[in-house]
Amino acid sequence: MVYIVPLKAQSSFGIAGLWGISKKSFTSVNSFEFNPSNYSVIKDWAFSVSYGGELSKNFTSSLYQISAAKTIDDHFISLRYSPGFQKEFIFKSGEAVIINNEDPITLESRFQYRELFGAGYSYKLNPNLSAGFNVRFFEQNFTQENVTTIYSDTIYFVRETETESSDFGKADIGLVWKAVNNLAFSLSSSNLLTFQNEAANSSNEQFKLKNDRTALIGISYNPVEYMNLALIYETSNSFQGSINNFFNIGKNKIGFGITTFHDEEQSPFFAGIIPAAYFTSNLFDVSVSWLKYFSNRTSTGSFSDFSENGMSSIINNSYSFDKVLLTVNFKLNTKLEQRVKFLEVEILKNIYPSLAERYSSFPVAVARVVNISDEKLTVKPTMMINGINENPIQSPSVSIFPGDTVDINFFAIVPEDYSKANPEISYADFYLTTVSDEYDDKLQLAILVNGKNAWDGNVHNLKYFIRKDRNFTISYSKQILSNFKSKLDTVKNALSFFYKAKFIFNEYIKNMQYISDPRATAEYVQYPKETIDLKGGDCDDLSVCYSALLESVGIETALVDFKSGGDIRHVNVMFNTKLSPRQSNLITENDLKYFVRKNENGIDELWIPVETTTLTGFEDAWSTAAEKFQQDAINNLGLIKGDVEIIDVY
Amino acid sequence: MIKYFLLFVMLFASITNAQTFEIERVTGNVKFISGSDNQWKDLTQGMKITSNTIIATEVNSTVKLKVNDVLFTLKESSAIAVSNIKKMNVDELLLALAMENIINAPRKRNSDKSNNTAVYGTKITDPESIIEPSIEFGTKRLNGARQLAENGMKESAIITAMEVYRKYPETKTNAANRIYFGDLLFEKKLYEEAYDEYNDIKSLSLNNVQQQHVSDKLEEISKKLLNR
Repeated sequence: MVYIVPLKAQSSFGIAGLWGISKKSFTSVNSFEFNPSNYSVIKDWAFSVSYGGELSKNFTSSLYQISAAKTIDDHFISLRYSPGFQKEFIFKSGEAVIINNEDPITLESRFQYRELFGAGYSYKLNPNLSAGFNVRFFEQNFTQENVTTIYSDTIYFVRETETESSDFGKADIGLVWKAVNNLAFSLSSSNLLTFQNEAANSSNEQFKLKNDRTALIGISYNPVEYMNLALIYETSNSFQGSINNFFNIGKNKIGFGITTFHDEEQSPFFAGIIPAAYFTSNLFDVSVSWLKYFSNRTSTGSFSDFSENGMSSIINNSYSFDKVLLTVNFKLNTKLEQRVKFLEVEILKNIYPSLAERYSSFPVAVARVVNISDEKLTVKPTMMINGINENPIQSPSVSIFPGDTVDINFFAIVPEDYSKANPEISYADFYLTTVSDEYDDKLQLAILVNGKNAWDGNVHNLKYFIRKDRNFTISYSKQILSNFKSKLDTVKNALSFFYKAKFIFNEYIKNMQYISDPRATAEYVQYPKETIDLKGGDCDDLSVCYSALLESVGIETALVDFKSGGDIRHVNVMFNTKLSPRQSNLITENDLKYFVRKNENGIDELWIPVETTTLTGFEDAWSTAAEKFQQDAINNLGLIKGDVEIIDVY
Repeated sequence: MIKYFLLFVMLFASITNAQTFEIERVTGNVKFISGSDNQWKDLTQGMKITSNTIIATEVNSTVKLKVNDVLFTLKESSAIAVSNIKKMNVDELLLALAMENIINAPRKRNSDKSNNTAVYGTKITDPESIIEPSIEFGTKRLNGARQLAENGMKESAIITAMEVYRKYPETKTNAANRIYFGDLLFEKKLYEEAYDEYNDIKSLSLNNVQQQHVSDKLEEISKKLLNR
């Protein structure tokens, strides 16, 4: 009578040790046993080969497994061929026959188990959750020798070999959840779905691989960056635990680990240990592991024990021998490994082509970027605005430490000859590049590109309009001054700037009229030449033009921004007469009509405000502006309350 | 926040209330110059002037102005911007002093400003264009500022003096006036501002009494600041 004892063997046993779920861990591409969910940290391709020897009475070595794995976006596929995952039992029946007076022949029974190949698939549902399955195929051969009596004219005996093969397959599922960065849990099945042929010889049924269903619950924890603790518990009441620790050697790592395990089918309680050492680099990993059982392993045993216990695991059972295993993994990245990525990009301002000069100093967008690699990186940020740039514009490079998140500024270049008058929605492409010409991450955002005359309402930025048309304003101003050469030759040298500004103003405003902005989404400012060609404009246009004309002949100007009117703001111009306070009487006896400003050297200079919308003459424009400035800026303390601001053009 | 808002509302209201000044009485030679004029005109009794007007008296001349129900008399050899004739509180004074500091700070040179002397390098030191009478007028303006203080408008007096120092820098060498307005700062318990002013005054040529006064004030302020 043969009994099948309902023991359930450990199925999660990793022949080269247990590896936790960690980015830092040794790449596991060949471990369906403890990784049914097929979880992987492989970036692209990986190939693995394990060669080992069994430390039995007669040392035997063989190729244990060859595997290949590939990650495609969030999908991971692995294949394993495992010629070394096999176990063969030969039992002598005790019966012998003598045929033809030859030596007695002992009859044998052979039981051969082999795992042939396996395949796994997993899908990363999100950065913290992965689910997958694996299927594995086994072959079982049962061979028994018998002596059959043949009755004919004479009775003789024939030795016959009865062979039966039985295929066995199984499929399991599992999932891995990274609760936090250094803690992960796994849940998977063992023998969830199995199939195998019915044994033709019913007596072979008891020797087939067992397929009891169990569940595996795993936990993986990294107390520090390069240390991993892992434990897998099987509901069959087996478990295994490991500790692995890595050390950096330059860009590579070496590590040491030890795994121990408890198997209900084996004794003692901790059936054995697997110390391992490994080296890992960007291109390959090497590990040497030693499986050491604590119980004595002999190459002989009784058939009755075998019959009673059956066979659960090919690579780890009561008859397994100590092993030494060398595993090499090759990692091939045919595509660039992403090292940095965008968390978010914020466009700080819509594009105003009029502010082209400003964009070299002030970013148009800021991106939050994280270094997801293990090393310090220099990130080259670039951006390209569709319709404005033909090539990406590089912004200053930024160094980011591993795991750090930084804000990176993106600068744009807008050609000065941009000529589109109307606003349009365009797209800005943002790129992050690290080690090669290929970008690590790309992001596209819509961006509003305003027309060439659009202004953002910031009076500080009117200076960019003033600086435009430089050649035109120089020519225009010099033409005016040449018309007044004789008068200018007669004035005191100290009054040169004052009279130049006066003559230019009086000539410039001839035929000029005040014209409001066209209705538009953004404020509209004319360039100096446009104002003169159109013979008019509003306060912005007229102030920009007059300031540009004075600057073109070397007279310092400032814009005066009056903000106290709420939504209705006003701008006029102030210029530097270069007169000292002691020379004030040369131009006026009224000390309310000028403003004393210290230059960068601390020397007092008289500045005169001019209302550019007063088109009746310089004296009127000066008086009007002076009264407004005195009232709003001085009497009402506008300069300190922020209601009035003086903005130097250069 | 509400406190500051109210402060600004009050400030704004007190300063921008349309003020019309009526000339009650004129004695002797009194002139005025309005915001849009470049030259002085005679001031006569019964005229109405705006706040953007400066009035000036010669020797043995006075003018009495009326704003709302308040009368202000400008004594001889004095000048005043009519807009300075106003009541201010200490908060307003602090704001105005801060504004004066901003105005008096040298302008920062922009990094992209041209260094080409062909553009900004014209050096104007034409001796013939130095008009010395401005010193005298500056002194008149300080006299006017003193009279503001004498009429209870000490805060306005201080600000007016600061404005005069800026427009007529030579007046800063008059130690007596400087000490007078420095004492006003001290009286208003603006010790830090007063300390700076006395320190500046110390570098002027002072007589013994003035030297002693300035030293005493500096010492007193130091003690007060230490005990804060």
